[in-house]
Amino acid sequence: MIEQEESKKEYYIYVDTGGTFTDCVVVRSDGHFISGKSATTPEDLEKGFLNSISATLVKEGLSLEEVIPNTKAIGYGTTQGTNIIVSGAGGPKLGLITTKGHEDRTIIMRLRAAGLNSIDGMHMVKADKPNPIIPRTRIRGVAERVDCMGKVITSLDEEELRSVITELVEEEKVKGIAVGFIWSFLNNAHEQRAKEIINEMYPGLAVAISSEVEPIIREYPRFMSTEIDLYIGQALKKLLDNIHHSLEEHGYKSPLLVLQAAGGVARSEVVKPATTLHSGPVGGLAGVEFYKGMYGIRKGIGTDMGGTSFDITISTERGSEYLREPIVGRFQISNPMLEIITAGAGGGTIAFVDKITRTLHVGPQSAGAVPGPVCYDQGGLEPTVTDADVVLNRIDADYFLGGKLKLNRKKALEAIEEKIAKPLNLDVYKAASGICKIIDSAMAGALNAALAARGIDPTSYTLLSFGGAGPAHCAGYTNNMPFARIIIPRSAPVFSAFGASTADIRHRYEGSPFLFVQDLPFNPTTLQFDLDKITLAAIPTWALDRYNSIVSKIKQYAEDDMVREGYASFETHYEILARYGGQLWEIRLDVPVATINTDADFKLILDRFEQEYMKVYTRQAMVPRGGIEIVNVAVEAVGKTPKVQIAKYDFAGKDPSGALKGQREVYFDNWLVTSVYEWNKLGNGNEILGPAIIEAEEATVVLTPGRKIVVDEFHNLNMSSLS
Amino acid sequence: MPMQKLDPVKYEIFYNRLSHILNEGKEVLRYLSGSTIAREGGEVAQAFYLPTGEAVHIACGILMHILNVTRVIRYMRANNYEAEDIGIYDGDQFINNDAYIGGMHAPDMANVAPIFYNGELIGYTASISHTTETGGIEPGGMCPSALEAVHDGIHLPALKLIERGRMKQDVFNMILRSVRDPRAMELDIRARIAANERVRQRILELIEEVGPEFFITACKQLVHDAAEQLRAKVKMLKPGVYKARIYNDTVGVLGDKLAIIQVELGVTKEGELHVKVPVVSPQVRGFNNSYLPAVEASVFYTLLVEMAYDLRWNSGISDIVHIEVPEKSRLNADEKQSVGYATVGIAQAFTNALTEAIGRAYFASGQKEEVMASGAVVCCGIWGGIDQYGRPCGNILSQVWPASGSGGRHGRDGIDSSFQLFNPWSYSADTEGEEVLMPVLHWSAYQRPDSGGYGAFRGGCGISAIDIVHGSERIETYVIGTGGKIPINQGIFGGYPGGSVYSDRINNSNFFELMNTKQLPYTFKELRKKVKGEYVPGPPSIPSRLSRPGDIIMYSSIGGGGLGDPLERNPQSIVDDIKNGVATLEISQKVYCVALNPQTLEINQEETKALREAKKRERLRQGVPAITLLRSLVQKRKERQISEVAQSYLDELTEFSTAFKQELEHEEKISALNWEPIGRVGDVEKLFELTPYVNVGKTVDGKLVTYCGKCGFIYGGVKDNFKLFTLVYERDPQEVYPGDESGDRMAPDKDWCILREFYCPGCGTQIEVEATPPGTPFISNYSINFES
Repeated sequence: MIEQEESKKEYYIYVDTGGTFTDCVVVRSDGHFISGKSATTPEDLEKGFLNSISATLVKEGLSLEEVIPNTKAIGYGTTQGTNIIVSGAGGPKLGLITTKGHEDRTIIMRLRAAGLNSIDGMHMVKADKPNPIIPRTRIRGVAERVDCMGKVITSLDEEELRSVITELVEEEKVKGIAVGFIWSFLNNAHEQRAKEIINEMYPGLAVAISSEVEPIIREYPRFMSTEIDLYIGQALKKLLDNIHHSLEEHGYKSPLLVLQAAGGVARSEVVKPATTLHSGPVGGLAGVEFYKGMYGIRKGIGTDMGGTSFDITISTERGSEYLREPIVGRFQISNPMLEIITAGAGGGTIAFVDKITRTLHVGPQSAGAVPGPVCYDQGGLEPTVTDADVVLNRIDADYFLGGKLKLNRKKALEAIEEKIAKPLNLDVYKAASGICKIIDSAMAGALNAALAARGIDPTSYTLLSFGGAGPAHCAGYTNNMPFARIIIPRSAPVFSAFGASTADIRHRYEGSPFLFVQDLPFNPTTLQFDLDKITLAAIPTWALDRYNSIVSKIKQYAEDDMVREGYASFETHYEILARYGGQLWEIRLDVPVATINTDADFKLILDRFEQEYMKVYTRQAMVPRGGIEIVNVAVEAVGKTPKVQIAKYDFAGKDPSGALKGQREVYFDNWLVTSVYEWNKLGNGNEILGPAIIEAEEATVVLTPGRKIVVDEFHNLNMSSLS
Repeated sequence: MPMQKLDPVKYEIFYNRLSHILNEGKEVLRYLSGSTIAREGGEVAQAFYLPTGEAVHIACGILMHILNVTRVIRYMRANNYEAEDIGIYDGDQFINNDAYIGGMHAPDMANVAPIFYNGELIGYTASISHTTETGGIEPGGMCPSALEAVHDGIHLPALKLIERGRMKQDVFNMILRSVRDPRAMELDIRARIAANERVRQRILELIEEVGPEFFITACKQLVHDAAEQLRAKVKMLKPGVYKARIYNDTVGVLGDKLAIIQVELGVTKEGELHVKVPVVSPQVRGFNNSYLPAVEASVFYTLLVEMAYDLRWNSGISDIVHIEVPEKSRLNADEKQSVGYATVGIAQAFTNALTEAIGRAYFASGQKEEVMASGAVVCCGIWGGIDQYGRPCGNILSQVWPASGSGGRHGRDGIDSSFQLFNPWSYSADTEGEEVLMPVLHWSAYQRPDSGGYGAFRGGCGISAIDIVHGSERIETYVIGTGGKIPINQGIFGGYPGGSVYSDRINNSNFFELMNTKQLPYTFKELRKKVKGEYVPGPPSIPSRLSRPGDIIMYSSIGGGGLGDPLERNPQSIVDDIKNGVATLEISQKVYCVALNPQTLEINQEETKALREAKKRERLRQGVPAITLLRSLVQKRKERQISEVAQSYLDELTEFSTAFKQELEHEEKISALNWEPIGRVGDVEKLFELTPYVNVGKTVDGKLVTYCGKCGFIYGGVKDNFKLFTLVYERDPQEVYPGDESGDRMAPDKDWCILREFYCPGCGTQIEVEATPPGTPFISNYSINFES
């Protein structure tokens, strides 16, 4: 590989503000990256943002002044909004105006146990509701009502509206008003009018209306999204403006791109606050998408094993799935969010012996970052997965984070001896190996269930393993699973941040037209619709008009956003959520058309639905007798951003001995003399047979006996089985 | 039985795999189901069972039905299904909704699939869900008009539906022909078949991986673990018997009728639980009976939520529990009786008594943070007919019933408007989510002020809702609910029960004419004042009615029981409740004795203190020595000076229940004795707190006594019911709950229920309240071996 000339060097930067640290990754356009972190500065997040970039650049002797002007894109992910919601503090005092009769809707809630794990949910005596974002004392109802056909049955009482606005502002001293009316996503005239009146009475007062925040059916999550949009919105906007401004002062000329939970990024001026919630893991998915393009593969699965959780993301041919019922903190919301399947398994996951049954359990509790595993020597007393890795010599206690954090192997050994091995009457190494096997099987189980529930066949998928602990456990959790290919990227420890820096601009809108068609002719043997006999006449006119009007409207919203992003041309995708009449859950499918205008449009949709349904649930579960219902539609507009070009390396032969660092004894059911390689020195084509350890500064790859690794042209590791 | 040693690592891996397999099956079931309750209420479950019927592990939304399939498998074994005339083969699936064999009521359907490995039966998997329409006497599966079992709809007694992988089409057609909504039935059955098939494949993969021997041993070990884990928890409780009573009024079309359930929870020092129901009313012609399997299932889910929440969830939990219920009673009816409302009616009422008994055991054992008074049962709207688009529809409306209240907790109020004990993940449906599927206008739904039982820590509130028929001329509607005349829960430690259920309707109303006037009504009170039409007051659980647009259904969910003397409630909590719309000024003054400025809600602390002192003095004045009241009670029973409804329940019960007869005789006997409290005679060494107000201690002369934890007043010897040494007042509930002028109707009917309040003679603290039919004997809540 040829080093790029200094003058042609271009950079992509991604910064992620977490609760404790602000992480940064700087990627050079050839794929070379540097990562770093600095302490988050809660009182001035903007400062921590720039600090983290400086701290990263300094590792290679670079400065902000050299790099920022040559940076093509800066991405930003923040947990600020999520933290405000989860901690229930820090947001402004808000009021809610809603349809009279429904003032208690957000207080009653929909699912009290939302956001609780299974044990806490089952323990009902302690499973309280969370504190509301807007308390009952600042919720007011006004007379107005629309019905399920979008028809006004009670007109808006403007006099009453004006009086409650005055009350909220003058007496309750609110700093913003959320407006949520029943069925407003079908007919938003009353919400729009309420917004006008608030603007007219109190110019400058923050207002959010539910039909603009997320025009989708089911009022509880829609109202919550509206409250949250205001609750985190003002602070977030200010932060983004400040950051963008100081970047410009350092010579940055492009937009600041903010990561969204629905996937992709949006410009800081355009981004909707609620879409930033829980956006962190989405970076990993963006990375998977990028790798799909880079390798020319069609379907990928991302597995991210960090300190506390194991996140699975699935990217099918058409992209990824969206959550049916997203949750932020303890609240269900309606903003689209990509589906990230999370299991409580990470390096910090705690192992323990059940006192009564004397059985070994691992997780889901985690030692977290503080105090962390026992071997960190920061006061942790409970043995964790990382402690087991260290005891088994899989992780070198002297080379953790490239030797920057010396681990205390002795303490880890003592903890496992005392708390696990003795009570179970096991040898300490067998106990440590048991901890690894259990956590690996828990992750494999989560992975299997995630695939199975979606009807996914692993033989056609490439799995990517990343996160701080992923490379060490990849061999364990993919054991016996027939993935087409398993790749551990060189950027594994910072893969999510790397991925976020590759994300495209995306704007997604959903709508709820509830189109249903009964009595469609079908073939009783094949259980498929008889498409030859079906025409548009089967759809009631009002239902078709409503469908087309909703789709056109959200299409317009998405296109307007792209224009505001500065894109003249962009891709647009359409999806529907559909089911057989009478069923309660829908399947999601891409459709080639937005509105339905011809017989052919309708038949295309029916055909796509049947094909998809059959694939997921088999023919035996088809029930065409019920006709079809299209419950939701989604429109997504995508504008491409400039991308990193990862450098390819020349073939360097099969022999990896140039990268051999040495040997040490590592436990794999027995102590085996194991070769240890330096990842940075491995070349394209090198082959390594397990048992082996491959080390880089922030990652340790464990290759178990019976597995093999081949280094590819991007210097990523490809793992396979020998048999 | 000590189990054979399993590799602990392999065992835990096995558990993870099994758990994921069943969750996968549950999700398939949920995605493909057709009943709203499956989605909105999460009412689906998937489980794996040993060939002998024990549930090994469960994946559930709802907790009720898991143990029922154990009964079904045992029925199949007992009836020799393996023999050739029926046969159990690889690829078979059986369907059961016969609650008498194993279930709660007809809508709960289970598909049971045997799993064979190398030709050998290795276990069963079952998928369970609620199919609303069962072809009963009314639509909707819980028919208030039902008088006998056949009125509940089709019964499928462990019927073979699939043989060796092939659907028995004739059997399937018969099932579909027997119900009003064959489409929903077909959807649900196919969903269960698909879920079982998915689980069967996965289990076989798992057996391939771990080997059949390990598989069987590990399954048995899981059941064993659950039993041992729960046993260890039970051992942390003080051995003894903890008692609680609950009453019920609803039977269906024949009108209301009083029933009693007395639960005695025995805790042994070996860590076993004995759940006995020695006193219970006889079975009745009506839809509110229950079969024994429903009681077993109810015990199971109550224990799961209240004690076993962090253990392995399987049959092992019931291994240490022994249940005794008299035959032909409301809780152990014979197979000819209707049980449509069992699940969430009488069987859930039973769980309220069990919850109180468990709460008393927890408190006496020092585990105060686990104490919760009893909560709600289900009151719901059921609608069926033709929807606003002209399609057939039939559903349980699921906005109101999940929004019920829990009982008050030690140190905390109950959980408001979001609690049902049998489903930790219940889900109060969105207005839009239901209006799009059903011809209903959910006009208003408010948290129901004062509906949580009053107490130092009040019960969680329910909600009151107004539903209007909109867009359909052909829809039948009804409300099933219970607790209109006597509360369905009890307060604990001096708290009051939650307010009565409400269910009225206005037929042929002019509601839609008021739409654009300033006369729009949103509460029961406004509605009753402003809307014209045929007003029909409750009770709920009357037969369905063909309704028209503008017909109005007004109903409530139920609040939980309160905990502790209401006079100890923090005044600031009352102000917060008023601001949040869950309490009224009237009750804050009348029951809580708080002095508030009605405009500013500012608390006058001194006046409050004075009001509360005065209230205690009033109690000391009004209360009569327990023995005096007891004697008059015995006298009234002899002279039959009791309200007609209460008298007839006493007569019926005396004839039916030997245990109750003995209680009456016992009360008569002790009423002849002299029960003088010991009073204040020097220091008592505290041994433990039996309740927040009653301690157990040792006097200087070594006598074990109960005494007031507030003022030190000594009641009497520990073996005697401390209530016998108190002052008692029997109160008309109208004096406590909001009256008719509130527009709501929350007070129980005094002919059906009085509030028997027990005060400490030393300080006037209200230490217990019994909501009880007039003439009913006192209950002694504890029988503990204090010497140990």
